[in-house]
Amino acid sequence: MSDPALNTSETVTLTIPGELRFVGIARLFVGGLAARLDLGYETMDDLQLALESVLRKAELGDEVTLEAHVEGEGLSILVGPLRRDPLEAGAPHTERLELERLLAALVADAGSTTRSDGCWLRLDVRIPAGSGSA
Amino acid sequence: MSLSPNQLEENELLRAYHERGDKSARDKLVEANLPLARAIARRYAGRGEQLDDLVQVASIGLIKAIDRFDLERGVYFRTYAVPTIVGEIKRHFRDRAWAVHVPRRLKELNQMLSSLIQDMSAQLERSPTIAELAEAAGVEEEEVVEALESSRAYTAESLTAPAEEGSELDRMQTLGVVEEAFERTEDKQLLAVGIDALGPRERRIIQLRFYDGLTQTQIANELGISQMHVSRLIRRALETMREELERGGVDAEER
Repeated sequence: MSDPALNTSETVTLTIPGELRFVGIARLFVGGLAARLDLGYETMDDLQLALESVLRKAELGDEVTLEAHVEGEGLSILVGPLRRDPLEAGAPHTERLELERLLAALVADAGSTTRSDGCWLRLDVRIPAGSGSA
Repeated sequence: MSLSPNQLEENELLRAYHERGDKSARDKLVEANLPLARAIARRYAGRGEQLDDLVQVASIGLIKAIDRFDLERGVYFRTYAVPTIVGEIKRHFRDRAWAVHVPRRLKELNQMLSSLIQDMSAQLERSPTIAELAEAAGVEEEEVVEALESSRAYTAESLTAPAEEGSELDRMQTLGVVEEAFERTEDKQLLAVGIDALGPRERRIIQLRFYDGLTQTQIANELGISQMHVSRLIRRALETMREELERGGVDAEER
């Protein structure tokens, strides 16, 4: 890989319309990050599915932004703003359980945070030293 | 309505499933009617979709027919099942129509990547990276990402690997084991919605991935299929569950 990986000070951001037909672009975004960060195919595929699940289950606004940061040995992708936290206790029970179950299996950690513009969901994956991560 | 011995047995099974919740009766109904689903799928072959994929879709239609059949309506099961299966296939064509325009080079690269991922995973004892796949395939990393993405969009690709032909019934026999495993889970509310719409293999894969914590590679090894195929089946299963949830799902808290 000739290009340098993402540095900790850098953020890669993608904003797409809050419509499901743009999910494919979000997947490509993750694919591009995986290439830069030398993530294994399976880690990439799981992260793509996690992101896709969030986009399908969350209440999206007119636009949704994906922010990728490298922190230590991990990659975090923040997704937002969302109209409601899909992981909060008040979210529809079945959907919350399903999303929690999916994210628990697909990413190292997931959580939500509140910003002035609404809720943002965070998806974390580990980037082990050396190439290939899963 | 004069019923043949087979139809009488079918009605008994339907009654056992609908009135007593006998899942084994449903499994027998699925197994007995798979030839019908396959026959209907064959009618729609040669229209840009692979037969294996259409059989998969037809099987989903069959399961829906079994689940929704109303014995009190006084019609033969097959009279109800055929239009349900056909409807499922037509819906599949409608939903996927745009996807068949994936360029040939991406389809070919995707097939190559599927083999490479399988071979390199075994060789490296981990998933290959995009860079490693690109080098092995002799293409740029961006092309690898693009080709992998095309497999997400292009669900017309076979959902059933050739090596799995003929083993469908064997896998169906594992359904009872899978059902027991589901019963042990704490989140039965979640599983109650949508899981019944899945075929035996999808249920098993969902169980292995999201409840037993196996990775795609481990599932691929256990089932003897490729990692990319596992990925596709997981997505298909989740999509089916989501559709079921949207169609008739009642919030589990209300149950």
